[in-house]
Amino acid sequence: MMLNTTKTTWTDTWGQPLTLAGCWQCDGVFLLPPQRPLTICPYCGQESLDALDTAVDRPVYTQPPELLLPFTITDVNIQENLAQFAKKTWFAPADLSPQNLLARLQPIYLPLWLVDANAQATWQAEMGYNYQVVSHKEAFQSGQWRTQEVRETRIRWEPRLGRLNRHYDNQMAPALEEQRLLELALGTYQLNGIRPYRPDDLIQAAAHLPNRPPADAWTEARESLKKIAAEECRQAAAADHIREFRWTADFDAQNWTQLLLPLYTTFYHDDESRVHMVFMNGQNGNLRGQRRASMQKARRWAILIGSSAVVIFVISLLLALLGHFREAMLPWAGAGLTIALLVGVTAVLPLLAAWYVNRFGHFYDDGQQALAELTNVAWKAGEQPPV
Amino acid sequence: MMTFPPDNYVLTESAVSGIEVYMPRPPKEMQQEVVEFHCPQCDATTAYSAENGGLTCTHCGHYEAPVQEVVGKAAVEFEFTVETIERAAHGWGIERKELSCNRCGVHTTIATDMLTHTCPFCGSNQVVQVKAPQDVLRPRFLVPFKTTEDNCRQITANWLQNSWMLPKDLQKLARTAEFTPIYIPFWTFDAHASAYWRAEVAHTKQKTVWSGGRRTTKTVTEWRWESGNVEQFHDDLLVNGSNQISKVLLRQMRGYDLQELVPYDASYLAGMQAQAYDIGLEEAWELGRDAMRQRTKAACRTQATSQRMRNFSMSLDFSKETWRYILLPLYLATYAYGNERFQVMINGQSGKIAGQRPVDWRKVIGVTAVSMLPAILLGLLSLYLSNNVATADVGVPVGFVAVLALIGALVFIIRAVQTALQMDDA
Ligand SMILES: [Zn+2]
Repeated sequence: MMLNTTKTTWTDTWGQPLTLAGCWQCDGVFLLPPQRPLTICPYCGQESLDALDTAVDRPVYTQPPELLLPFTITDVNIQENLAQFAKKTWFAPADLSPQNLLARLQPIYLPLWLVDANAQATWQAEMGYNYQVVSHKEAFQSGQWRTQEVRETRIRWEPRLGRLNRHYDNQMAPALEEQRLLELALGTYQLNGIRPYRPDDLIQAAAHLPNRPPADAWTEARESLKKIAAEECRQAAAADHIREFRWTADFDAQNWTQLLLPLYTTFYHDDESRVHMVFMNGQNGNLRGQRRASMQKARRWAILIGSSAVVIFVISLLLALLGHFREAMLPWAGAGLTIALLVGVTAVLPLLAAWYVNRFGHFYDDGQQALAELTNVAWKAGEQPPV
Repeated sequence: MMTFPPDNYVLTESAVSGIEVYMPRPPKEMQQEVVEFHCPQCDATTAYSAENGGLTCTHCGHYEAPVQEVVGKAAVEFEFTVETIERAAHGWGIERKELSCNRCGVHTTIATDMLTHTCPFCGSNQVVQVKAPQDVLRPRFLVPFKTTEDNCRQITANWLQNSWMLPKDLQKLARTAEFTPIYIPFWTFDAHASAYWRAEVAHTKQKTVWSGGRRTTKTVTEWRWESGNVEQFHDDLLVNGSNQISKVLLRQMRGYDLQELVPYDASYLAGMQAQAYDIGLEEAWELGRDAMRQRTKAACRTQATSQRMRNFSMSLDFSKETWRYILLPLYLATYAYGNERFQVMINGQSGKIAGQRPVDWRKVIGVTAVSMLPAILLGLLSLYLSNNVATADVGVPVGFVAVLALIGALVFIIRAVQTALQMDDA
């Protein structure tokens, strides 16, 4: 083997000097701009990046991307979205500030497969055709019948079958295991802004390399092709509805290309200095962040309210004592005690609210749940780095 | 892999290139337009026989067993689709239809609403299966003839002698009457009716009132609002589909049992006359719905706690409406008596008879006159007895009996004349 100072590797095909790095927290493999310090993982926000050897640690797929969806959200929008997020989190930890979020913002491209294929298939399905039936509503009043004709749409189901020979272009297939969760958390990307990849796209941003090879992603691609084929067959049969679609398909002329999708990541620390991720769709600015309340902050509020309750209580007690001498004071004392009690009870609310956010914030909606799953399951957040 | 396409599928249109669409082979159109019936043995004309339910040869008596399959009330019902209603409105198209007899080659034209034809020259029976405006609009089911022509003569003979008001020589006619078997078109309708009604219902009440310083009771009517719901299923309501048959007679002779419905087959029509509907689906459904409305309304009114009510109103929603187009068997006969012609109808299934009968009015007048006699005689007797001092006491009760006899006679006369009028102009 020849010793070569200007070692050529597969990363050269990406057209730019890039560093291969891996994260032992989220198992992500990245190509990073060479001047970027190998500290914080652009995908999980942990300090767990290590340089990898391009010859030894070969990722599942190394070909450069063909297409890319550029970052299109403006700086102003980014700042607004981050500020909104920080503002709307109850009892936000001190670290969760728009400034921090902005300072830690990192652009990263996520991979997606686009597959072209020829399909030859036989198919069968039940096609539904709408038809209208006439019915009547009648009313009898003052000795007269009045009739109203009503039309109702019903569906007639008929069996159909056939053959299909179609070419499908640019069908999306997941290049990351967590693709479905990402889509739930960030919404879908609109592919009409797509353009060819240029090497200088990676001067600023990191690229997440696929962790699912095409062969693996093909099952999903097949499913989505089946859905498209079903819809096309429905159109072919001029039906209004379709159900029970089944096909036996052979595919050839498969062509896989990699598409890069833009994502911003940032993070903040909670009271216990744990990292919480905030993701922003780089195309439309859809923001999804883990919400974490600061128990410290909530406790401060609770103490504040609690102590005011104590103050009111003490004053009321004094009034009650005075009441021994002047009866007019007694109602005031009673009112004071009631208010003290009410305020005392509200003191629990900040604690409850913070606890609620930390305990149930993940279940707020599907997207929030997906994000929780992404950050907790997919990359084992909170695990201590191995010594 | 299975062979493609399966046998029973045919290629149909596709709106997308690269996709072929196959659909189930549509059921065959009514095979031949005209079906003729000949004996396989002697080539003479065969006809449907009500006696044994098959085809029999008029010449050698050869018998062909029927395609018996009774579906009864389970016979398919159709929905009121907009398409069917529109197609049904188009009617039968051309007025008359050219027909050439396969046997003797003679050309005749028949009206398009005739479903059968007997060649006037060679007597062969033909069933014309004219293309209906939509496949569902051809007769799909029928009740076959069960009553034979001989039965009809017997039934008519009995019917013509079961009343004293009829002329004695009438029953002879029954033996010579010609009965024409004919299938009449009918629509059957099903619908579910859900109704809500509301009315002010009268309740009488005893009330104590003070009037002129005295306590008295008075009956007063109180009107109370009542309401209710009625859910009713109207099953197989029959509506006549032909304008050419006397509706009055048809109503008297009704009572078809739809449990005996069979799928339409041309052989049932061999040698019979048969008409297609000329009262269309929509018009018939209008009539059917009216009958259903009246029935449901009656059901609503019976729910009220008293039958005296005012401001009755109701709403009624129909759902699950379906229809069927069927043929029902009927014998038609006309006979002449004196200078007049009389029409008789016999239900081809049950043998129930309806028709006009010539009333012997002299007989009726004679009998009614005789029925007055006892009253007149008793009256005279009473007068005579009252005039005589010795028997005056008996005169009064006899007079009373005379009045009773008079009332009885009058009742008898009124009823007799009523029956006679009914028989005469049914
Ligand atoms: Zn990571």
